[in-house]
Amino acid sequence: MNFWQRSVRQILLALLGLFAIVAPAAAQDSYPNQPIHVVIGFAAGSGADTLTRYFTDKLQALAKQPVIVDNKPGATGNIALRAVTEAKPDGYTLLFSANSNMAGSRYLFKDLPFDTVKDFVPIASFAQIAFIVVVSPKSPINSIADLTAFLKKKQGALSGYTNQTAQLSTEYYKQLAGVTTTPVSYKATPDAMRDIVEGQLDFMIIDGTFGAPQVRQGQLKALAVTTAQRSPSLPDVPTMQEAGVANFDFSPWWVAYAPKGTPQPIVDKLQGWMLQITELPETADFLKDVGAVPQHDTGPQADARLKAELPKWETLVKAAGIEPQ
Amino acid sequence: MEGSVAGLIHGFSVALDWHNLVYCLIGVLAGNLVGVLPGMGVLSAISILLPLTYGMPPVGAVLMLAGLAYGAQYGGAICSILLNLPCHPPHAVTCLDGFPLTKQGKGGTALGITMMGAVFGAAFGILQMIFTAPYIAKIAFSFGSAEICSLMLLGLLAGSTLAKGSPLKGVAMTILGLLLGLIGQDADSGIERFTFGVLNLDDGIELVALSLGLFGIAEFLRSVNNIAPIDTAYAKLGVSDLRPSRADMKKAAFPVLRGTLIGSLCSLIPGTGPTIASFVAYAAEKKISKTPERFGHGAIEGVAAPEASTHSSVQGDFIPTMSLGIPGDAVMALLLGALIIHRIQPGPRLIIEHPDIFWGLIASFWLGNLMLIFLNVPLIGVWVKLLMVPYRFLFPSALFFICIGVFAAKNTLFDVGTTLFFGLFGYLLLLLRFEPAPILLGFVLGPRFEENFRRALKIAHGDLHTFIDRPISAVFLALCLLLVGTQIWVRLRGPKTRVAIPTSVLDTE
Repeated sequence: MNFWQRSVRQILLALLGLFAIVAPAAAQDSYPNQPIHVVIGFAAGSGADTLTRYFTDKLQALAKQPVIVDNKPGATGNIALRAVTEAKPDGYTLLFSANSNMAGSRYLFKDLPFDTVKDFVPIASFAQIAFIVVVSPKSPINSIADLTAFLKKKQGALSGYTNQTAQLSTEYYKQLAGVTTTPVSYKATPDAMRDIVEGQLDFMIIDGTFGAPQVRQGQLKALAVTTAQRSPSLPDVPTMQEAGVANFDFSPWWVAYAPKGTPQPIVDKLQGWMLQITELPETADFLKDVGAVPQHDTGPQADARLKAELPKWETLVKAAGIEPQ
Repeated sequence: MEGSVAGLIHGFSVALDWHNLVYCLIGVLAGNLVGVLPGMGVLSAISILLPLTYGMPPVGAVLMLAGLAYGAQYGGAICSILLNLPCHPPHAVTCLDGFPLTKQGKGGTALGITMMGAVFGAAFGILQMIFTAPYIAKIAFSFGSAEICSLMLLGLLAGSTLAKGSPLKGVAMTILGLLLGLIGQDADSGIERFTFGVLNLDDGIELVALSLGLFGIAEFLRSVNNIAPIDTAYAKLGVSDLRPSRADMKKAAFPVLRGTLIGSLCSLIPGTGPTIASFVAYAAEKKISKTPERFGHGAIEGVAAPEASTHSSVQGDFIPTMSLGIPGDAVMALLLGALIIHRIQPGPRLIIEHPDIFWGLIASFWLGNLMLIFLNVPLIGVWVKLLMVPYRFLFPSALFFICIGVFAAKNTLFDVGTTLFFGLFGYLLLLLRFEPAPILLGFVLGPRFEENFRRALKIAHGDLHTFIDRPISAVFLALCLLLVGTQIWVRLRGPKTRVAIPTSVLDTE
């Protein structure tokens, strides 16, 4: 190669180098300029999916780019978590997940290839789903006080659950109220419904998305909601705290996450959008239909909130006797 | 009764509205297409179409999505019969007798009978929904964990007769299916079984991957070496083969009826979907038949009964969903999700608060099935001609669709790898003359049996008598004993000896 060829080559390389520096900055300014993928650990059509699609719809309008939902169900949400930690932290792959997944996975599984606190950057929280304590409509129990008294007397009472959050929620109640029950697990909600209505189960803690319409239509009797405030979808149902179980606040709340290493300007932009969406009155309306309320934590607030909850989860997993896998 | 008729008339007026008619048409067309493409399930298709429904009026949205659900059943039989490739698990049993029929040149007949079964099954399911919806719920609720456990046991015992060869091999394959069903996280204790630390195995092996691998890919691997003879055999198909003969229709009539009844029973019992319905219908036909050795070699009953049962089961699945708001399976859960997004609360009050949706849906079932018949029957000839496409184009294309379909189930390439693995494994089984069908049975029924067994015991506080104390469960267990008992009795009695005609009788005349 002669002198001229070498020089041209060097100049071109230098220019390319300049572009390399400029390009990411340009990407940040023009974010987003590609479709954004939101990964969730639930299958299409589930309550979580319904919830997510409302928000991605609104996000799409604000971001002016398609926002696609990637359902990656499996391993209690861990498949989705892993997928996001393996994605490039450029703001085009996000995760919508609940504290139950982020906190629960930490203590329910050993040897996960990621750390749920360190490997994700919270963007904003956006919804909290109330869980409802229900009994059969035929049951003589009408309040949490009744239930506690009943459980203290009955030997071998049965409680049901369809997911781990409900299971741990039940443990929490048992701990605070000082009762014991035999937990019965259900893979599918219809089976659980059948057994609670027929009275095989003494009570159940069920998620609000499915439970609220059932309660409103008289298929189930609600005793209390597990959130600290009353749920707008069931305004007549007292909270656990009102019903006498002090300090009870155990419900999944949802947060949007980005993988660790996502540039802060992008995270801030997304945070702004998410907070905008949660402020809309339409959002409160929609969430009411699915048994949820909007949340407005910023990223750092959500982070702190999760960290504060971790010890509670750790003790509950131990109390439920679940062996970490 | 009058209320139902009035509601139905109202429903037709809703369903026949131009917009709704078009939505219904799109739904059934998409469903049919999804049914024909191997692996790509209704679930994936609905999740793709769901965002499109946000802007639509709720009635149209529900009609379209429902059309997808039952339309998919129409396409599923095609590949099973013509290519020995079950596009979806409910049609796996149809391969057993459908493909031999195709090899005999009667593929078109099989498809025709399938359509017949489909219409009858769907019509029965719809009528059931119109007139018996409230009573259905009561029946469904009396099936507790103990009952379902005993039913699953009955199914497992009966199903080991699915194999056409040695019963011992059939039992071995069923047990293999049971073992494969163990893989995954145990629902009760959260303990991972046989996952070897692989996160993707936490939920077990994907059913679609297993069925497509064992049936489709294994079959491809076997046929690849035998291309020439099959090419010429298919080319001999004439037009007359496309319409089922009177004799065939007569033979298929009762199986269709029986299959339909089994399908509707299965739709009532939570957790038993079209897959189980098709297996049970096939096993029942084989047991009832006077010539069970014909099954597996092209018995038309073996095609008619399972297909009728899947259709009636799918239509019946709508009942608990629409009348109680309790989804029977994932597809119904999606449908309910679509309703919730449109601010409609599912539940017993749906029929009162939104008669448009309830009765419009039922009316659209009639219209949709009608549209599907008009679409599919003329296309039978086209599908059969597909067989004339040279193998070297047909198989790679089918493999391509299989990979896409399997990937679409959970958005992961792991499942595609699983399909390949079971394809190779299934080929090995075929070489050793084992039948893959009972594996699927064990795989589907086994986990449900275990789950319900443990739950029934928990509820009864460890008392095994619960299975006998509860009447329905006791009946199923008695049937199990009867089943095993008759098998032993027949064996002990020895093979049926030919009646020895005294030579003296022959000598006269």
